[in-house]
Amino acid sequence: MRFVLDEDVDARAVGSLLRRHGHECWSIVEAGLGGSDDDEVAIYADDHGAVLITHDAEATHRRRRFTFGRHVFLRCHQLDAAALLERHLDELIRLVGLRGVGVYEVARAGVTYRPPRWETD
Amino acid sequence: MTSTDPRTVVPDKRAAEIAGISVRRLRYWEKTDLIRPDVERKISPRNVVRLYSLPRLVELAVASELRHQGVSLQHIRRIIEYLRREGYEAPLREVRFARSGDRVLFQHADGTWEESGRPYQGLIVQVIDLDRIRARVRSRLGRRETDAGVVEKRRKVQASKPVFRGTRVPLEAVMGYLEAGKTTDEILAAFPSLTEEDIEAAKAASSAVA
Repeated sequence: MRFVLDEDVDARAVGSLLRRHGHECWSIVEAGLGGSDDDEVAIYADDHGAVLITHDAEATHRRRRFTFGRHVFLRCHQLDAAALLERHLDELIRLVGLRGVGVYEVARAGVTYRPPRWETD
Repeated sequence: MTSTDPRTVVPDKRAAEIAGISVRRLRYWEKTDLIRPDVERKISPRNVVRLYSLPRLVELAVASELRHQGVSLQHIRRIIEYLRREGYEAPLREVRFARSGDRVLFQHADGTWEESGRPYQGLIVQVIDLDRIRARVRSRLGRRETDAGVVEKRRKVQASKPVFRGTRVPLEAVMGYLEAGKTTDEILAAFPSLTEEDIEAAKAASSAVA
């Protein structure tokens, strides 16, 4: 699977974890989008067929209101992100493959899928 | 991946800055089909995201250079249309342009110069150097040096919480790394867009809180 890391994600720890598990991964800084708006980052990931990984709660909230692409929200501090993601990576990959477009929240308790609003209205 | 990777893009405001034109002019060029963004997506009625790739930035910079040399937009458009008919897909980045008086000349791959259908062998005064323009565009990508060590709040970035200027990295994330005893090198490896000045700013903020 392809992943784009938001600039607020520990690029070394999370990047090496994903690559170790055979996934393609790069950061928005490498893409030239450092410092960009939430929506620009999300559009970039979607346009490249990649899953965006972020710690940004507000960007996640906005993606739930205007859903496009696949958006992973890590509910933890950056220091704990790699360990948390490693614990739930298989479940996340399975869910993303199964459900596609939407927001995926990764927390201690597991992965929660938030479908696009048009599916819940 | 480097900042000159084919996947490199920049948002419209940054594209305008890199090309040395106003956002208004960039929009006009888009509206009139002179140079369009690589990605254009409407998220909501008032929010359209436009992203420009590196090759497109070079086209913007060449068009900007021609405009700065006094070539009218209509003239640029006529030349582009002519070169497209001649088989060039992206004339602004495939052909070398030059000025001689009021004339706009272009050089083909075989080295010959032409002025819209007429071979040209006269004096060439100002050549628009594509390599120089490409280098200039590349050098303007990425974070500005003057942003280092500055913390600010920005709309639509991390819920307007303090971030390091020119990045999306929250100050509080770095403060957490410092509290956990991480070194400057470890923090810079985690957040490659940051600099030592940013880490110093975070240390100062941590001291102020303590």
